[in-house]
Parts: sequence; structure tokens; C-alpha cells
Amino acid sequence: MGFVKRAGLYVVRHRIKSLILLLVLTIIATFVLTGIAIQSSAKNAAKDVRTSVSGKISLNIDMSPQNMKTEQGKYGPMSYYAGDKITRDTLLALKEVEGVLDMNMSATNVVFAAAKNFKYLPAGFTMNTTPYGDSANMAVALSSEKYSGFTSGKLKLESGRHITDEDEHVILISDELAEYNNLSVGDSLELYIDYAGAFPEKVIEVEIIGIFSGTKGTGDGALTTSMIPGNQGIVDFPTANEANMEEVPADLEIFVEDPQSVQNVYDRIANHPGIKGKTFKLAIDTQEYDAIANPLESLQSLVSTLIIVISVVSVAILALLLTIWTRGRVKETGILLSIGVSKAKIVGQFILEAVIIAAIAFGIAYPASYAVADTAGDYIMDQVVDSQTLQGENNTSVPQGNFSSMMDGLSGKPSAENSIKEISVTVAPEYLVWVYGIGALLIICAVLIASYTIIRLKPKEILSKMS
Amino acid sequence: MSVLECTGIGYAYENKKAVLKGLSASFETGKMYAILGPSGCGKTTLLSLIGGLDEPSSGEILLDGENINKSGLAYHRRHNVAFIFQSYNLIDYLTPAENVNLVSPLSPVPVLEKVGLTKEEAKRNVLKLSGGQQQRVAIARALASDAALLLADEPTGNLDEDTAAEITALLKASAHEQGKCVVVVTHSGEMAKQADVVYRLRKGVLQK
Repeated sequence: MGFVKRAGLYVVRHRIKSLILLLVLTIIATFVLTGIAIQSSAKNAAKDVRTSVSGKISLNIDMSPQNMKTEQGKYGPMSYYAGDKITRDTLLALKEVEGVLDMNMSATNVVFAAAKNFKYLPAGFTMNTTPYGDSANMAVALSSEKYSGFTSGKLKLESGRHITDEDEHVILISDELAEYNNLSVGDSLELYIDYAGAFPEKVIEVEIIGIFSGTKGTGDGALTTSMIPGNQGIVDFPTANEANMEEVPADLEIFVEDPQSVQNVYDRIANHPGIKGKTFKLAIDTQEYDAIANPLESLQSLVSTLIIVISVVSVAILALLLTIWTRGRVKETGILLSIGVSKAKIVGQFILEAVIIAAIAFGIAYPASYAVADTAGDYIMDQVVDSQTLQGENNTSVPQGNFSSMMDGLSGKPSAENSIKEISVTVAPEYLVWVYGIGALLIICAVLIASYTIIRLKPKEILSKMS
Repeated sequence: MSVLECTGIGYAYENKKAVLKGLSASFETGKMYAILGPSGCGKTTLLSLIGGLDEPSSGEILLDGENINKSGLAYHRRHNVAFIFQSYNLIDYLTPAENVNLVSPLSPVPVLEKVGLTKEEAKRNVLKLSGGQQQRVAIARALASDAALLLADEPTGNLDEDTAAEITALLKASAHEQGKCVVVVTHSGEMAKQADVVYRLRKGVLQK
């Protein structure tokens, strides 16, 4: 009888041992297959993100002290940006730069207006800085759809439409303000502008073209009208320029066609005559990509580590289990040696027994991992995303920080919460090939380690142990 | 006709105690040899050396004029020797038939029937057989291997008188009828009486 038949008979006739080993190997293989599938899916998702999330370059006005001026206003000294401004001409010129896909200009706190024909949501204190009460600040956007408050997911347009670069005298308001004043899309607001005597007060009429949500609950405990995000709106550039009697300084976001060539586009823009030598700051903005991709890369790293740890622990557990069982086969080894069976064939039998069970276990692990991989992947992804959620994304609190940021309740940052929360995990057949191949190698190592203590003995020593 | 010759065999245990000292003996086919001696005198050790389970520290063991080490001890154990042990030493997850098939691809039924087992007993798990039946299976396995040398270490040690007598008869028959060289290490006087040649192992040498 050859060792192949002996191996088969051993596996069949030692059912309990075989089932225990089958269970252990199935669990290990399921973990490893699931891990490989999740890692691969995360890698593919990261690759998709690279091609789907535009590369972005930000062009900001440099508000360093050397570019600021201070003037005496009605209520005291007032600082303002006195450097170069990003104008529509700048915009049009940059649009021609090779590799530029799209652009958006926006700024926060550029318009301070009191409510002439409507009322702001009440705050803790009222200073009545104008005849119509206190002012609230407005943001401005060339294309409100690309405004960070919307792209970050903080705000959501509930009715109407976004501001485009064609619009003049329009506004987006919060659903809170709309409900408070019984306003809807199409209604007009009169904004009373009084910049503390810097220039004559005026009233600008704007049409409500859109109503957004996302501010409810964020103004709780706010001290002043302008600190309530629900009072803040988004206007178009012509309105903002009219309110400020000049072109308002704004930040420019430049979207690049191919994220991988963002550096080349950056270099072209930096050397553009409309930009070079001006008081601007140019930076490659990978925040959005990082916020989305970082969780995926963390997931890959985490899963890689898990696979390695599981593999090492598995070999250790297998070697221990097999060592204990092999020690119980001293007698069988002695008998086989005494009848002339070679040590190689005896070890071959032990290996084959484990491989037979492993082959069945890995086969079971494939559908098992298929069933759990998607759920496991989403669960791990949730844990990774939760741990990476950027601070300051809590929409339920009053904006913290300095005075300017406290009054900016609408802009948003890319958040891991809004990033990919789920990945589609599939267990491809080729992963099973890897598991079979590497699994067989690990099992052979474990069996050899386990068998060493017996096989190194001479037959007489083994038989002495038996007697 | 001599089949096995031991020339100047010496063996010492790991604690350096020499148990065999220049032992020389010859064994012929067609005869049953009994080796007697007190416990610890080296009887089992001698059997192990003849059977290729270990190597002597000095001397030679020749089978048909050739050193058993020449083709390798595993080869010697596989082709020239069949062991029968006191504790039977059967593979416990195999049936009697499968145990016999370990050494021979031929049908095990005839040799099992020869030693007194039925077809039904041949298919049972060996652990469900009596001691005497298990020893018969061990003898059947030894006979099925077709080895010239049949080495038995206390084969009746765990058996009752009647069964021991039957086993002794089987061993004697395999020597006389099948022409094997049967070497038995034993404490049993009855077995010694049945042997063709009786050796005593004393102070590391064999004496008739």
C-alpha cells in the first residue's frame, strides 16, 4: 500500500482530527481570501479615484500683512486687502492654459448686508448697526455648484438652481431663512449695504434662485446675526462687486484635466503673465483627493498588515496543532520504518493528509469569503473613514476659530465622511489560486516543522520510545 | 545454508556501556533460532542490528555474503527482513488486510487465512481483534513480505499459553515449510524447546 492510499485512509478514519483541521484551515483561508479581495478592491477604487477626482490648483490672494491696508472707518480702523485681484480677465486668460478643465471663483465674508424686506434668524445679541438691524455676511461664487460648501456635502440645493457665471443680482439662501420669512424661489430680497461710512449706503435687490439645506441646528447659541450660518447666503460676483464698489478679492480653484499632470499645469500657470509677479498664492490642492483616497490607502495598508499577521499566526497555529498530532504518530512512524518505508514517504504521507484537507478547506473558503467579503470590506472601511474624519466637519456646532472663520458658516472642507464609504468587494477566482499555492507551501512548512522531532530519530530510538 | 552472518559485532549504548562485545554468529534458512538471556543483556539490540534498525559500533553483518549497509538499511528492512514485535505493532487505523497490504500488493486473504483469521475478521479494525488475533496479523504481515529473515522480539510475551503455542507453531512452520530464517528473542522456555538452535546471550557474546 503506497503512502497516497495510507494518507486517504488516515484522513477518512480520523474524522474528528480531520474535521478540526478542516475548520481551522477554512477559517484561515476565508480570512486570507477576504483580505486579498478587500485589498485588491481598495486598490482598484483608489485607482478609480485618481482618474475621477480632478486635480486642483488653488489660486488665492496673498493676504500677508504687506498686502493689507488699514483705514479709519466710521466705527474704527478697518483692514482690507490692497494687493492684486483675481479678475474675470484673469479667469478668461487662465481658461486658455493647456490642461485646465474648469475654474471657479469664490470668497467668503465679502458682502455684509442687513435685511430690508425680510428678517434674519434672531441671535443672542442685537447691536442694530443699521436701520434695518444687524448685518449678515454673504459668500460669493462664480459657480455655486463648485462652491466648497456644496462640493463637501455640507450644503445641499433643495430647490431652484445654482448660480452660474452668467448671473447677476441673484442669491441662494438657506431653507431656515426661507421658512422663517415664508420665502421661495423667485422672491426678491432687498439687501441694505452700509459699510460703516466707507461708501454711501445702498440697497441691492437680488432674486432668490435657489434654496439650500445644511445649516439647521448650526446656529444654536450664536451670539450675533452674522454668526448664524442660516442667515448667510451666496451671491453672484456682480452683486458682490456692486456692494463693495470694486471687484472683490476672491480665491480661484482651477480644475485640471488629468490629476497626474497637475504639476505641469501648475508650472504653466505660475509662469503665466497674468499671474507671475502678482500678490497671489498658487498651490496644488490635493485635499479632496487625499480625503477620499487616504481611507482607501489606509485600508490597503491595514489589510496588508492583517494578511501578513494572519499568515504568520496561521503557520504557528498549524505547526503547533500538527506537532501535537504528529507526536501521537510516533508508533505509526516506527512501525512504517521497521517494515522498510522510507522517511521521505512517511513525511510525504503526513504532508498529503494535510494537503487533502486543505484542498477541501480552501474550496469551502471561496464561497464563504464571497459571502462575507463585501460586508467585511464595508465594515473595515467604515472604521477607517470614522477614524480619519477631519475635525471641524461637525455641522451641529457653531463654527469655531477666529472671528473670520466664525462668520463663515457655509464653506466646507473635503471630508472623509463624504468620501467613498463603501467599496465593492469581489473575490476573483485568481485569488483562490494564490491561496492554494501559498497555502500549500505554508502547510508543507508546518508539517515539516512538526515532523522534524520524530523523523530525525533512528528507527531503534523510535521503537524504544514505543516500548 | 547460511543466510546471515554476524562477525565481531560490538555495540555500546549512549552511556558508553558496551552491551555486545565481538559477537559472532551465523543463521541459516529453514531453521528457527531462539535467543535467550537475562533482561538488558542486549537481545533486542542484537535483533535491531540484524534487522537494520540500527548500526553496530564495530563488526559486520552480512546477508548472503554482502554487508547489509551496502544497499542501505531501509532497503534491507524493506526487502530482507520482517519483524514481529511483542506489542504486535500494527497500524491502528488499518484493517488486518490493509496491514498486510503494507508489505505486499497481493491479496492478503490467503496469508491471513493461513494464520487462522477469517475473511470477516480481516476486514475489521485491528483494535477490535484479540491479542492473539493481532499477533497472527503481525505474523501474516511478516510472511506476506516474502523476506528471508523473520525476526521476532518476544512474540508470545502478551499471550496466553494456548495462543502462545499456536504462534510458536506458526513461526516454526514458516521456518521449516517456507524456508525462512526465523530468529526469536524470547524468555519463554516452551518456545526455546521448539527452536532448532538455542543461543544464550551472555556478557555480550552468543553461546549455544
